[in-house]
Amino acid sequence: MKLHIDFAEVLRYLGRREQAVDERLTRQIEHMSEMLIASATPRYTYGLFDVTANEEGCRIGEGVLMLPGEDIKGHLGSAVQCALMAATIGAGVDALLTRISKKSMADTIVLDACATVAVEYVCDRVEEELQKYAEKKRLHITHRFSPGYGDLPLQIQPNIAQLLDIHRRIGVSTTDTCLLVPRKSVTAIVGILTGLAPEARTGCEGCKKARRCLYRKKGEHCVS
Amino acid sequence: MFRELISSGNLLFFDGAMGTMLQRANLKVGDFPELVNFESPDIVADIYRQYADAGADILTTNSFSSNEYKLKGSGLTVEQSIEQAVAIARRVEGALVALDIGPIGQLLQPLGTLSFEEAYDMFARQIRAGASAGADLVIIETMTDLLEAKAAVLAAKENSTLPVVCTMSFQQDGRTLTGTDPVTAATVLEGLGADVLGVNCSLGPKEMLPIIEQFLSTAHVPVIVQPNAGMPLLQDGQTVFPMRPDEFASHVRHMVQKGVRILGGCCGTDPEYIRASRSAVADQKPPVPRVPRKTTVTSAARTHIIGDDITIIGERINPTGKKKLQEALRTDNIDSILGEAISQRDAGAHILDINCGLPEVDEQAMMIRLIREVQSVVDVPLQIDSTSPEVIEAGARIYNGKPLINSVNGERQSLESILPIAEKYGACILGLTLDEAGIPETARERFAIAERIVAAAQDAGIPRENVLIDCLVLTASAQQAAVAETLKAIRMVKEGLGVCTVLGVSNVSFGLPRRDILNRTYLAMALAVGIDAPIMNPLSTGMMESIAAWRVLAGHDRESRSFIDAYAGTKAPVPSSAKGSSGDTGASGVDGLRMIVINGLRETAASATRKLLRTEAPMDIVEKQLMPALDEVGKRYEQGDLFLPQLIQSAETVKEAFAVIKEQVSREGGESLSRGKVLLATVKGDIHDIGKNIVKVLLENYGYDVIDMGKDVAPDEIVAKVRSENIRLVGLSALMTTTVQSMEETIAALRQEQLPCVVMVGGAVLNPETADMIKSDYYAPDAQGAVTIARTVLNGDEPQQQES
Repeated sequence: MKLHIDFAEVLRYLGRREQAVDERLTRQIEHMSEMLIASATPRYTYGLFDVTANEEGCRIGEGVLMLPGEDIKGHLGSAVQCALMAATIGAGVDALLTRISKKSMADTIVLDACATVAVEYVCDRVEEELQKYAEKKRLHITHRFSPGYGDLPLQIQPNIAQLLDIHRRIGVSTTDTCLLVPRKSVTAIVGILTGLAPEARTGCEGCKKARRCLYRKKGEHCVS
Repeated sequence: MFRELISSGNLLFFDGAMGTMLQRANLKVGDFPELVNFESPDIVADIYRQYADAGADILTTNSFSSNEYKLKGSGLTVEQSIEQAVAIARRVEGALVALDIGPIGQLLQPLGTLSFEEAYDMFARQIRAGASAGADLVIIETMTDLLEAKAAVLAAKENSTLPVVCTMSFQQDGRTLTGTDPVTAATVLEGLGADVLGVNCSLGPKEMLPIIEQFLSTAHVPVIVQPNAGMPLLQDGQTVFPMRPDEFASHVRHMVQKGVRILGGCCGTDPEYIRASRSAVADQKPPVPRVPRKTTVTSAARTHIIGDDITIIGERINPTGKKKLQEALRTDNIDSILGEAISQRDAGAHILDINCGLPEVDEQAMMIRLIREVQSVVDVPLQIDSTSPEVIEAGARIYNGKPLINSVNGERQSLESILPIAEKYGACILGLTLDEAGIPETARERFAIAERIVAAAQDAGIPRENVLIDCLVLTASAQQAAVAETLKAIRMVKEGLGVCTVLGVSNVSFGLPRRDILNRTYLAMALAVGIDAPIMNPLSTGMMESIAAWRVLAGHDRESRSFIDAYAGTKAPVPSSAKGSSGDTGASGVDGLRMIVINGLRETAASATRKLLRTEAPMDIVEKQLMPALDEVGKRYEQGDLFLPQLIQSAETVKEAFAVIKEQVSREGGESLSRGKVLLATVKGDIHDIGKNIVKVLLENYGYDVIDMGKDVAPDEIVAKVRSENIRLVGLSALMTTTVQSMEETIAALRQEQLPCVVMVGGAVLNPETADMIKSDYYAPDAQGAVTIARTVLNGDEPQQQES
């Protein structure tokens, strides 16, 4: 897969407000994007599973995985099937980030933003693939929802990792603390449903998880 | 038995996939694939029988995931799982049983959090269980991390006498998921003593061919290949393997003709694939590949050949005579050492020497740490440099790749203690031509020692090509006549022994002025007599120029391409007296430095500061120039006029200026500029440290000495450091809810020891309430906030209003 790093997206992750983008920053972003692309090895995998909601949350497959909480239920809505996906831009990027950080933190911050944009780009390609699959079957897909969003605990990360065999397939593993390594990796859940994706939002204000939500950290929001 | 079979030169077949067959038998394989050994042992045994009938000589136990980490929650111990797995395979008479060992499923440090020793212990437990259950050999397979494969092979060699087969999985780009190439994998695994090595999984036989060819042209031991049944395809979310047995078999035949000796199947294969392959090669006798013997060292991601072209060994990570490096080692300032590694590599070094011998430093712990950290930032091979066998062994053990050990010499004690280490870890060894009687005067005597070293190394089981010789430079100022003798010795060693030669060139100029002139001239002389690898300063322009020129004149630089790339359009340097104040970009004087900071012109900060120091007092520059400029930039950032990297760019510019000022102050013996010490760490289990690093830059800017412990730091290490360094302010960072817990544990450990320090915390999922809940003293919402806290805690400044 050939990566594309969108300039405007990088600025968004750098906290775009009204700042002027000077020539130095522009060059920095271009340069870091090039270095990132040279050392990234984008990979992804996903699997499709049946899903049934119950009181505790959503049951995936024939009971191989339980996704607990209210928010995942809200996210998957009436979905009868879902995709568990994982994407990464590879271990080379971690090494590059470490190397650059020894020389310039300014460059590191830019590179980190580029890397985030890159892994999101990979996720978007997976989503497109799922979209195609869904269209063929006249179905629809939801947005991506990841462990750590809302009340879906990070602790299910190792289970997803094992179910998708991501260590072997794309070189991603989990730590004892449920973080993904390489650092720029993502796991997510995408619902596949017959009707339209649930749009109604109650908003973050009422959510008790809002202050710790990883969606919000990225400046986004979930669907509940 | 297995060893006899492979030395007979016959083809051997492993079985094919187990998972594929279990699925076909309608067995649900859940989180713990090994449970099926207990729930349906007869079905598993029947699969083995089918494989044996199809022609498999060796059956692989169903124990891929039988390690402590992956069995957690299964209710099985490693021993139970492996004993059962071996017993089932044993039911088939006449076949050999290979104990199957897969990856642990966690990444090793520094990428992940699993330590090398933890990984080793897990593998050792599996090996012992397999050996006592009666397995005939060990197959370590589907490895993607070379260091993990190394831990597994070492565990197998040190905990059993079983033969060891080791395979790694490669992607279509020709590398494993962590970036190791086939040549490096083969070089390192063979050096560690694997009996058979090769490739499995991930790819189909067709895609594997270029990888197999690299294995065959590198390995001096038999090569194994276990492909998938074609490239896996994702169809509607399911993985399918498209290649049919007959096509698979025709590829296998091709591989055998190339020299592959041991075969089998991976994902998607079944007994038909083995049967078809067996019959396709029935008339084949594989050729024994002629593999050249070259002197090579590797990192995890590249192999460097010594002897084909000039090899530059960077000498700068060695505290001897280097005050700054000594200081860095003493204060644990790893970052500056890593900076040294990066700049040497960027300047063109092919190998980096690592020496951390300093009386007051725990050399062994530091060597391990430096090797790990340096390997995480540069991909060139390293030279482990110590006088202590223990330090060398500790370094060689955790080194990711095939290192060069510096050094052994002609003394009996040295040969006896160092050579076995080089043999065990498959390292190259540098032999110094000295012995009990010191450095001999004549070339002939030095040659004799070299000859003895090479012979002793070969007796110890080290291949001749892994031995390099350093004929030792003496200083021209003290022993002028000896300088030529060294060159003579080099020529004798090259011609008489045919091994590669190394030389620590810069020693020649000790005690004389303008050492650079002597060094580069001596380098040229040494190159002319055939030196392969000078140990030198790759940042020395003069020496690097000599090398570039020599590569043209000696015919290494084809069509002078590298030389033209490097020097076309450049001019010989102007004598220094005629130089202007270069790099000043016009900015000068008081306002110049301010503008330099505001514009983040990092490259020019040092020279501008030096200039300013001629007329201004150091403290005045800090207080009247640097701080106001930084405050201004900070304000613009807060107002949303700047992006964070722009703020940090200015901060790093100030840091350059600070370094110059500090140097001057310490030279003049003036009062320290330090406003206090702050310890920073990203807590245990967390590997996201960018936030902490930003805080560090800013704190340093405001004059604080930061002791940076890095990421994934255990509470007891932090406690020990706080105590030994008498720290009053600790800053902890954690990114995720799961690691906030280890933050809490760290704080509790500090409190338990009643250390009089204040703790500030920060990180994405933290907020003032959580910070309070885990009993920290301060919550730092961002880097600027951390500076405010430091001012309050360490300098008694009034706390400013801060938004949280």
